[in-house]
Amino acid sequence: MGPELLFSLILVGVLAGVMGALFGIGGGMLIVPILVIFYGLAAKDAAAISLVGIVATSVGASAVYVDKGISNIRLGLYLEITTVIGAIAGVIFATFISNTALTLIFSLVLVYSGIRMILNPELAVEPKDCNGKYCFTYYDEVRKKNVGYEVQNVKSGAAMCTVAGVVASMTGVGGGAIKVPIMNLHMHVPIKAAAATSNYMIGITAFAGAILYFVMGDVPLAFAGAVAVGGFLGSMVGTKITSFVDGKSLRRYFSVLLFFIAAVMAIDAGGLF
Amino acid sequence: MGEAVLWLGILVLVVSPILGVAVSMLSLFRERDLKWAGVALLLIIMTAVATVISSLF
Repeated sequence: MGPELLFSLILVGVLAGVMGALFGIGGGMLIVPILVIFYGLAAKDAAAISLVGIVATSVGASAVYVDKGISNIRLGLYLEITTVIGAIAGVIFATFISNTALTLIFSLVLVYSGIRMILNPELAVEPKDCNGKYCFTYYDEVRKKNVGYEVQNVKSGAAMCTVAGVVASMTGVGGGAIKVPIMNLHMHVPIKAAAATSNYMIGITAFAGAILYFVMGDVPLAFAGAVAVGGFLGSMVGTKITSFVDGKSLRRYFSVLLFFIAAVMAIDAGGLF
Repeated sequence: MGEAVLWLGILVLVVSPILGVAVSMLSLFRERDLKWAGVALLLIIMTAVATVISSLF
């Protein structure tokens, strides 16, 4: 692999890593189209490389966010169980349901989520009488104070994550793009905690896919290694940026990202890549 | 040699998240937080099941 190719792949990983660490998404929506369109890779190879990149982003970002106490590990573990159940169902459904219509519906859901995130203010609930309930705290470096919140609608949020798992499994993308709005809008988790928790979760989700590709020998190692290095470096940069972006702005930028992802998915449903 | 190192490095990277869950589970057991330790264990089992089922389709 030549130095220009290596450097460009690392750069792709860095971009995905920055986005991933900031917003709690995997970056697959960026990596896969770039690898297919600009590098001419087969979709399957691009997906395998993307999954390794997502794991690298997750590992890098989680190392920082878990250490800082922003990632809600307990909530992440719980929601990930229902997501995995949904993913299993999605793998089975995918054998007899076309995913074109589902991809289009999903892109509409992302647009709706983006609009709600712009129009609706964040409604984090102050923890009160938290005996056995889902109450958590993290230190916000922008506001320079501890932010406490009580997670709301836990059961319905978990059920929505099951649906998210089905959709993500069938369409191949979108784990973080669905889960962050679910946590922020429906469960009233502050956006920074939601993104950090999603970062923790997506690595586990990506593991299930990546290990299969790896065991089958379907991961282009050099490409995956370069993207992974970039993803890790990018995640370090992304976590630094988070420490000086306030939650309100982050929500607004996340909405724009949701619109972008929706557009990419709609184009994908049209068969461009 | 280089290919082998790359293979090993990517393998270690890929299994890191699930190893993290396993470490979380052990840590929660030590803290006697059995409910959440059980959640972590269930997640490991579900992820293993999901991986096996995905390999069949």
